[in-house]
Parts: sequence; structure tokens; C-alpha cells
Amino acid sequence: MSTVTVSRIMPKSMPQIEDILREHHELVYRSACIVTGNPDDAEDVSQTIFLRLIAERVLPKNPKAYLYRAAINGSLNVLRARRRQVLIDDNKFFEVPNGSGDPTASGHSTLDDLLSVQLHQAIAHLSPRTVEILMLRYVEDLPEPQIAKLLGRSRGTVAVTLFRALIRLRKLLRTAASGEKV
Amino acid sequence: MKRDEENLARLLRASSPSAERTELARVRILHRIRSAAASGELPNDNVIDSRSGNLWRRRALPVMVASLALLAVSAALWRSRVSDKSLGAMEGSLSSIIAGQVVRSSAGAILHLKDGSVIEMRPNSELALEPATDGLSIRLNIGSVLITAAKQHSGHLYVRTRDMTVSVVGTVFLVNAEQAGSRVAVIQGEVRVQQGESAKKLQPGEQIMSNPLMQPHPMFEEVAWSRTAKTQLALLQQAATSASLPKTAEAAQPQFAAASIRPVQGERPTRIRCRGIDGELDVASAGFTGTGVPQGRCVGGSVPLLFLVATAYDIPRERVSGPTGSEGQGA
Repeated sequence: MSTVTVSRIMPKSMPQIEDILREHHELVYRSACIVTGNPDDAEDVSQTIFLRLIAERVLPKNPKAYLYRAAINGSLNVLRARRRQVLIDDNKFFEVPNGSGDPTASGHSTLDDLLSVQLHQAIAHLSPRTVEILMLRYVEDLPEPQIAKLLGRSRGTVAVTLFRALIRLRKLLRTAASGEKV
Repeated sequence: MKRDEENLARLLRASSPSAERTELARVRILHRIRSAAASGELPNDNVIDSRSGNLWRRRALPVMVASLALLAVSAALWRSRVSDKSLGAMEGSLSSIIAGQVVRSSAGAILHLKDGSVIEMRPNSELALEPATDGLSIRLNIGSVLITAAKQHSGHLYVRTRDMTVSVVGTVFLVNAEQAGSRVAVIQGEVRVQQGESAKKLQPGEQIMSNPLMQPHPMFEEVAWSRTAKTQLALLQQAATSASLPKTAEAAQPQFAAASIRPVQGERPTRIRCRGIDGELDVASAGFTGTGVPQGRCVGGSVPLLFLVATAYDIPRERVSGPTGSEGQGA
């Protein structure tokens, strides 16, 4: 996953791209969903990635690695763009209350919802490489040595990156909890 | 895995879409990219960056590089212009200032002279740089300038107003030129102020006015307009702590330049008249306390001499000693 190179493909590459989409769409869409925290944004990110493949007429040598990284980078761009926008707080105004009127009845606690929003805002402050490592470790549940091998880094580098990322996230979440803008 | 890490993993995974939603998204995306490929309407990439970094960094970098290059070229151009026939240049401007050129600043400006001196112009000031026989002269027509004079290796830096000439070697001082007269205040170092034939040296914290009608202003008011006001006041405070300074040049003990007294015969109306380059004072009453006296010649008729002296030197009568009964004329 560490090498992301692209090679020229023939103009009539649509079938190939459709094959790539079928094979890797889940990875791209899920990664984008997790990073952005919003399925609609994730769909936009996925669509743009595949459209770009057609537009640039390039086919990655390692599609999985290329698409995974593209999904994370694209999602971070969406998060950063969102940070610059003034949002009404938030979509909660437009949500239809559930039947019981109990906010926790849907199975999700409101605290988790709030934390999730703050977590995604905090993730926007991290570098793409750090987010990639976080994703591989905590979403894909890969051990550190395997992440290091995939990314072509040393195990120490991965461990330090994870350690620093957790400290940064903790700090950002603490700032958000105190009511300051992250 | 620690608790924090478990919570993070849980929160991240909670954002995972359902299989059904993923499949619906896949169908929609496939449909859209087929339509886009068929119509040739491929989007501009404004959402993703499949390589590395973020969009802002990628787009800003060329702009930054171009800006730096432009800045470097401008600096080189500015240096080359300054180094030829110019006497200095205005900060933020590519054009240099040549001899005799009048510089007007409506919103304030900073000029850098070739010798390293810096002139900060107050808004609505006007000056011109002129070569002097032994250095450079700044002719201040109107307004205020705060000058940080560099050490002059050969020659002097002069500031000329309508009625004063200030010469410096390496110091920080302020010159103000108004219709009523000029004012010089020293922040650091020492300046020599020449007015007519008389010359005076000013130390930090001292100020002098060409017109006695002008009141001395507190130093913080004098430099308040400057962008470096805080620094200047700190310098002044530093100088004040290292030496006890007189407040103003006017507060120093006055000295007679010349005086003549002669007795008069008979009764004459009591009168003190002072006439100078900056106005005229005609006091019919000998009880005048002495404020706003023009610089020049004062003549009193049938007044106690100490009143005449107090008026002429603009000082309280209590500070003048002598026989109260003396009468005569003084000049």
C-alpha cells in the first residue's frame, strides 16, 4: 500500500474502471464515511475519485492503495472545507424526532453523537498519513508491524505517529469540550 | 488496547455505513460515472486529492513561490535604485527619493535613507531630502517626523524647519513643524538645535519650541502617532532612569542675553511690550503673570524690573529676585 504509482491506460478504459469500482467501492466509501462521518459527503468523495480516474485516463498500478489514500485525502479536504463554513448547529434542527421522544431510543447516545462530531472536526487537523495509520490501526484493526510493512515505514515510526495522534486528538477534544472552536 | 484507543475505535467504526447503504451508493455512483463518461462531462477535481497533502497546500505553493520570486526581484530592483543617485526610498515602494523631491504623506510613511537612518513621517506631513555640504539635510515643511539617525561616519544629518536647524550624529528625535513654529524633542542621544544665532543642545526627554507661545507637550503625546511609539517611550524611560533629566528646555534657568536699564523721568503709563518673530505681546498692566511671550525683544515702561524680567522670560515672578522698587526700561 505504500507505493502509489499510476500508468497510462487506453482511452477505452471504462470497463476497467467499472471493475475497479465494483471491487474497491466498499473500501473507498466506507473509509470516506468513517473519516467524514457523513454518508452523503462520502458518496461525493467516492464519485469524484472514480470520475477522476476516467478524466485523467490513468489506472493505478496498485488500485487498492491508490483508492484508499485518495479516499482519506478527499475526505480530509471535505472536513477542512467544512471547518471553513459557518454551519447551523447542526443538522439536528432538521431531524425528525423519533416516536418515543427519547434521544437515546435509536440506539445511539447523544453523547456519542456529540463526540463523533467533535472527533471528525479534530481529525481534520491531522495529516493524511496520520489518518491513514489511525484508520489501519483502529478501523481495520491491523497490528503495528503490519501497518509499518504496508506503508513502508519502520514500526517505531508507526508507533510514534499513533502515540502523537492520540495525544493531539485528546487535546483537540478537550478544547472542543470546553466550548472553544476546534 | 487502552480505553482511549477502544473508544476511538468504537467511535470511528460507528460511522461505518451499512451494507445496504454502501450498495445503494455504489449503484448511484456507477450510474453517474457512466453518464458522465458518455456525455464527456467530467468534473474538475475540487473534492479529492489522490496524491498527497491537501488541495490548499498544492494550490497555494505555486502562488507562494511566485510571490517570493517577485519579492526577491523587487528587493533587488529597490536596492539597485537606492544605490545609484537616490538619497533614500519609501518603505513599500519601488521608487526612490531623489534630491529636492518633495515627499508628502497623507497616511504616514517610513523612509529609509542610504546611510541607514529611518524617517517616520506622521500623516499629512511634507518633507524634502537635500544634499548638504557635509551630509544630508531633511527639509521639513509641515507635519512631524520621528528620526532614527544612524551613526554618521563622515558628515552630518540635518533637519531644517522654517525657523530651526537640528543637527545629529546618531540619535532618535522628533521634529514638528507647524505654522506657529517648530518643536524638537529628543528620545535618545543628543541633538544640537540652532535657532538664529543661538544654539542649544538637547538631551533625552528635553524638548524645545521655536515659539514660546507653543506649550511643551508630554513626550508620550508627541510620539503617540508613531508605529514604534512603545519602543520610543521605552527608550525614553531607559534614558530617564539612567540620568535625572530636566523636564523641558524651558524649565531650565534662563539667562540674560543682553539688558539695558535706564531711569525715566516723570510718570508714564505702566506697560510691557514684547515683540518677536512669532508674535507680539502688549501688556498694559504690570500685574501680568507672564505666559505666552514671543521670543524677541521686551520693553517695559514704568514697571518694576523683576516684572519685566519675569514676563520677558516667561517665568513666575517668585523665581526672580531683586529690589521690587526698581523701575526702568529693559531690553
